[in-house]
Amino acid sequence: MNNNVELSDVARELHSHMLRSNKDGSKLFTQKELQDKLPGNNPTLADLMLIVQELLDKNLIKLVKQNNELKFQPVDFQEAAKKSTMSNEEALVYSYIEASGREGIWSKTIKARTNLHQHVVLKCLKSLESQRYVKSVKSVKYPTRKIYMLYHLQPSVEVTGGPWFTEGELDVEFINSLLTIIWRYVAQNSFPNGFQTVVGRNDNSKNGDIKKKSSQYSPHVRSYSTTQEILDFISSAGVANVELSTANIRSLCTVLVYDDRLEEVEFDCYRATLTSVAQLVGPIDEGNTAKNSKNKLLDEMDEFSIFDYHQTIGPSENDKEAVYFDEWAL
Amino acid sequence: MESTLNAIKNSVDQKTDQPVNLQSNIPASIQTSNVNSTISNGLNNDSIDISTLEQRSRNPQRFLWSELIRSHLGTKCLTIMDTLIALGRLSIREIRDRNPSFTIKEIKLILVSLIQLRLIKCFDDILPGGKKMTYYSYDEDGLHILLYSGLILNEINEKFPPLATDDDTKEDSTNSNNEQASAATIVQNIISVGSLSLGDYLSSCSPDAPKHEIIDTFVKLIENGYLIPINKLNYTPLNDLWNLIYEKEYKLISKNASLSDLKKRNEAKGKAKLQFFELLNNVNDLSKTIIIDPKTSLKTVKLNIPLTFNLERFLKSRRSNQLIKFAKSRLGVMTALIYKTALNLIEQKSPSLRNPMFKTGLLQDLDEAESFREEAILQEENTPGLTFSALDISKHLPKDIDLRGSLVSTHNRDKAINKRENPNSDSDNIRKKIKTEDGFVIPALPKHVADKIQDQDAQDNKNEDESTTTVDMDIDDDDDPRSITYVNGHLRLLTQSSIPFLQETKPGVYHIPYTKLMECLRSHTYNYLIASTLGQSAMRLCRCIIANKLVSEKVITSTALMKEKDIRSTISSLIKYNVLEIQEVPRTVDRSAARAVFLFRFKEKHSYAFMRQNLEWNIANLLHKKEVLKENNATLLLKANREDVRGREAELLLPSELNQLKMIKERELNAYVRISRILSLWEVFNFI
Repeated sequence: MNNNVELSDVARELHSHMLRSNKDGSKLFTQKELQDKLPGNNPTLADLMLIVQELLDKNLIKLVKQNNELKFQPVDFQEAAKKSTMSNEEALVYSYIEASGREGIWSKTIKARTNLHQHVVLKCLKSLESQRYVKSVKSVKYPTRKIYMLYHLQPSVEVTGGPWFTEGELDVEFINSLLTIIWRYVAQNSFPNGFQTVVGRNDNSKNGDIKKKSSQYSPHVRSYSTTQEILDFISSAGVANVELSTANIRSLCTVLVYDDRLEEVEFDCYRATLTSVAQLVGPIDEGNTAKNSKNKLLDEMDEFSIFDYHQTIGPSENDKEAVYFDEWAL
Repeated sequence: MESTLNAIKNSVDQKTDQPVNLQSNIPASIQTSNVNSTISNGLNNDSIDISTLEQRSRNPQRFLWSELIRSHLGTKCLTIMDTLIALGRLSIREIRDRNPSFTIKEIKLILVSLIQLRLIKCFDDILPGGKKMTYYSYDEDGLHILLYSGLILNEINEKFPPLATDDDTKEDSTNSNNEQASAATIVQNIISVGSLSLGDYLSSCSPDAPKHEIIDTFVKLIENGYLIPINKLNYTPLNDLWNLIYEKEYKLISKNASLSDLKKRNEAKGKAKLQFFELLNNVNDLSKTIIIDPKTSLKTVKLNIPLTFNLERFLKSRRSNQLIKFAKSRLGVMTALIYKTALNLIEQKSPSLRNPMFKTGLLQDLDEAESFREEAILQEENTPGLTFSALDISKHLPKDIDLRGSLVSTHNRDKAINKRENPNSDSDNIRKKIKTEDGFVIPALPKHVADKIQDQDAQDNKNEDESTTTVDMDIDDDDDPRSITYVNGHLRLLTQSSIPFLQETKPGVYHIPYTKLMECLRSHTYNYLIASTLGQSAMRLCRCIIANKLVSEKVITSTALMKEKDIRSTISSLIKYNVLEIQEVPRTVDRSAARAVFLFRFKEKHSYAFMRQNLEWNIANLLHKKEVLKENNATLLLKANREDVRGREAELLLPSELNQLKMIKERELNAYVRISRILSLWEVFNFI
């Protein structure tokens, strides 16, 4: 490959040296550094300029301006070969797409930056795409925009929207199933009897059982779960096919907090709310309420409460006293 | 007055926990379609009764008060009250001008009875010419008493259960005599006439009534704060009183004083506040009402002091009730029982729900309102009698409570780990090899050293176990069902909760931060009302917006993780019920709506006010439906209530009439239960 490009020895040596010391591909060289690398005694700036010009002509070096200082970045031969096959316009468009990195660039921005006619830009993009030099991706932030980035790059989280998006769309099913799993895990750890904690009105257990069922952890027991624990549980269960981080778990927990199914005890520590567990208990069975009335203490607490709304049954069609929330506001 | 008593009696018969529901949990779409279909069909008797457009466009509060007056006091009182509710304060002549069908004499007669029932307040104002003029304005206290009448009697009955007759075969007269001494009967009589002195009550009782029991009940009611001596303040509008005191103080400041007007006003305000509170606080002096009877050395009530029902005290118990339900939903039944004991312990001394300052209009000033809030928080912490310790609670716990097993001191997770770890500890072979970073495997320790270390570890574990078991012993193995350890544990749970049910004033001493707690209760009730009517996603959105203050749709998508389409439809229904407000942020110079960004926010005050009005309207509508039902069946009800028919309905009424009567009773019962349920929601938003 190296032989395909005609280069002077000095230029080739400088280029290979730059490539060697630029393993991660992001190192920028200053003018001084390059000058030091040149062979011979006290190479002048004019010598360097000639060599750099040569490399520039062959697309083997890039000029980058950083902090008002001109810096140089080596380009490998493959990349240079790519550019050499492109037309000037294509190379210009390509350079902007390359500069945008994993964020990608909107086709309209390319047009504005390059000052090229739209047709030209479109033609360039089409040709670059067909040669598999660039690709277009769907951005979650701007679903209507066509975003371009280099073919081999993975779009950033900002563009893909993170693990919650599948092909640019919010994967509600995936989120909801994760929400349920997290809530179940946290709830199991929040109460000694797990989901049996709440006594429904139609519970037929004896008084002793009711008390045992509704028991809570003592205040000194750590009854919350941390995001790390939740993440470990999810990873070990192998539920998610994407890599999740504690930040992802935190955002799911926040949603559960909005649903009032979890509450935040401290930063990153969550506990399930009793109300959310109570929602597992179905509507009241009117026939059983009478049987249960032996326990006077519990009976007194059994008044209507909006927090037990899930235990109520909707009105029948013939109910003439039904109260409608929207009747007045209609 | 008979109608008042009937209504009161009826509502006493209901228990609030009847197995009939509030029926507010139907999705809005169903409700809307129901309403629409009925409206398009016209009001059909067979379909669900849906209110007319005229009813729905009425001011909810006025609708409620007028329905209440109509059902309890009849149309004449309604006309006068309605005029006053609509127009604020009026003189007799002004009332007559608006109601030409009444003579001055008639108006005066009605006003007297309405004032007696504490439905109207009056104030002698001095007109610019020096002439005195009496102005009348409606009093919400009386209206609230009417609204709560059934619940008041229910509560009194629960707190002061009537004396039980041991023998069922005792004569009826004994029962009726005991009834005269029951607290509920006394309160019922007082509510139905406005105010009553002990002397008047005794004189109206039968001669063989148990006088001492009656006096004893009166003393109990007064000591618990449910009855207070009536005074002129009960009939004076507080804002008029405030204005009078303030003007007086302002005029007292010398005109020549070299003070700016603002400073003068502030000085007058400060002095007026002191006087205002002094006047209000003077009322609560029990020593003038309860005396020691020189003959029996027992406590008695002065015979000639007219007593009235103290709504404030009743509202405090309603607040406790709300908080108990709240605690039950967050922390479970047993902790709620402990909390109930704590609330009952300090209920009487707890801060009032409706501060008179709210009537003065002073709190319009933000600084004033903030300092008022801070002062209230400080008072809750420092007022003697509002703090308690675990010992106080355990003394007042219900006798049949058993707290054993209500707290678990070892986590299931730890138990599971112990179980898993124990078998492993026996076999050394399974131990994982430890590798350093360079790949060097640390060799196992020589056997004698390893054994030594293991022995040491075992010793440490044993010590640790012992120390933990002592804690466990405290919680798990305490045999006393009302042990103070359990009480302490539950109190700590209440303190540690994310909702400030309790706060620790100093170690071991707790107080209830009412101001903060009521704010939490209000927001939670609101959220759950939204969740129960508009769905869980509406609550998620609402709480998301509250948490993030002012948000765009994109922020909602990323934080609430909902699809944009769902977000938009939910937001539109939330906006319909004034839950959310929209703020438009123009992005172009021409402020084109298409390019603008919309932000959403939640404004507590507006949303709560809307919810309060909605609930108010629904209570009024239920009362209205009940009245319509009675009107439609007036002939049958008249027949059933005739002296000769009462008790012999089965013989004298046709089967169809009996069925109809049953249906009316059932529907009335339904209406009362629902009213009491909506009331329990409405009061959260109505009382500050």
